[in-house]
This record gives sequence, structure tokens and C-alpha cells, in this order.
Amino acid sequence: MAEEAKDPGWVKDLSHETFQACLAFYDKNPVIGSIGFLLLLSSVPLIIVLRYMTKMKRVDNQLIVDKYRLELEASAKKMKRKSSKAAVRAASTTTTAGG
Amino acid sequence: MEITLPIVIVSLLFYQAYLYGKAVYMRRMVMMKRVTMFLERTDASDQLKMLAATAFVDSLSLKLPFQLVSFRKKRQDNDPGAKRAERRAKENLRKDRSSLHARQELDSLIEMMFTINLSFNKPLVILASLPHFRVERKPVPKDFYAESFQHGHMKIKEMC
Repeated sequence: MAEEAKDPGWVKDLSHETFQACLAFYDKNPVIGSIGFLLLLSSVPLIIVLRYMTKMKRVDNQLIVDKYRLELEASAKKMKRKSSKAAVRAASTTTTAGG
Repeated sequence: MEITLPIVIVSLLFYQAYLYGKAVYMRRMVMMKRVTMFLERTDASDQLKMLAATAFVDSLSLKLPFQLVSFRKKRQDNDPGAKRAERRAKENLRKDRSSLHARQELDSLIEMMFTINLSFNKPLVILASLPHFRVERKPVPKDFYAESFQHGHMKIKEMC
């Protein structure tokens, strides 16, 4: 850091050279340059819209998965109740048979 | 040409984003009600409910065409894993005790998933359907390397 503060000449040269090279490149083929410019302009609304859409998608997915889990728990409870009823019935039959 | 080409490319990108947004909106407005109705049904088994939920989640996934193509390739190569999966799915469907109406509803839900996915995913479908485009890696031919490089032999053995 201290050396850069002392002698920033090479940074200046480097930035100048790269900027000149970029300008020359875009002068040579303006199609790529205009595509980049339009993408730079359009990136902000695109990012906003896509973020909104991905958030909506995540919320929907979470909702459906939670619903499915609730249904699974409900069906497991029902199965348990059924099995317990069957067990009670079996126990009663065995006791009556034994008595 | 120099003016129209960039505008065409950027407008195609915007059109793709619009299609994605439309798919998200349609899924929320049309498909979500039907999937919740299906999940509340009493005559459908847990497996069919799982299929409906995964269809809802998969309708916006970008990996779906690649997975379909890889599974089709495996089935063509008579891969044992793919065969086993297919047989198990058929057995489960035969054992399943849900009503015919629920099954038809699930079929229409899966069809809706494919239409929603195809409506915005066409570039990736084309990319996946290219004959020489593969995402997964080929397994390394071990014997060849073991014979050709004597020093690499132990390394390959360790890796396996």
C-alpha cells in the first residue's frame, strides 16, 4: 500500500493502456460493444424481475412441501389409530377366547 | 445489421425472462390450486401425493431435460439401475390402492408440469438433445491406464 502511494505511475499507465485497448476493441467490432452496453442497461430490471420470480417460486415450493408433510403426518396418525384399534380388537378376542 | 443484431439478442433475453415469469405466474395461479386439492384427497395414496408434490417442484427446475435425456440414455444402454427403478415404479403402481379418478388427476398434473417446463425451457431442451453433449463424466478406462503407466497403477488402485 505504501509503495503504491509513493509511486502510482505504473497503475496509471496500466489503466490507461487497458482503457485504450478496450476502446480500440470496441471500435473494431461495435456489435459486441453495443451488446455489452445494452446488457449493462438492462441488467438492473432483469435482476429485479428474476429475483422476484425466484422468491415467488421458493415460497410456492415451500408451501407445497409443507402441505405434503402435514398430509403424511395425518396419514401416519390414521394408520397408527387403525393399528391400535386392530390390536385392541385382537387383544379382546384373545382374552375372550382365553376366558 | 450492426444496430439490429444487439437489439435482437437483448430482446431474446428479455423474452426468455418474460417466459420464465409467465411460467411462475401460471404455476401459482393454475397448478397450485389443483395440487393442493390433490393433496387433500382421501382416495389417493401417499405415493401419488408425493408424485404430485415433486411434479409441482420440478415444473420450474432447469435440470429436468438433462435428467430426462440421461435416463433415456441409460435405458437404451440397458443400465441395471434404470431397469430396476422402472420395474420398482411399475410394481408400486400395481400395488397402489388409489382410485382411477385420482390417477387421472395425477396424469393431468404431470402433463401440466411438462407443458409449464417446456414453455420456458426450450433452449436447454435443445442443448440437452444434442447428440454429443454430455453433462456427466465418462468413467475412466482403468485397465488401459494401469497397463500404460506403471507408476500410476498404485494411484488408480487407491482411488478405486
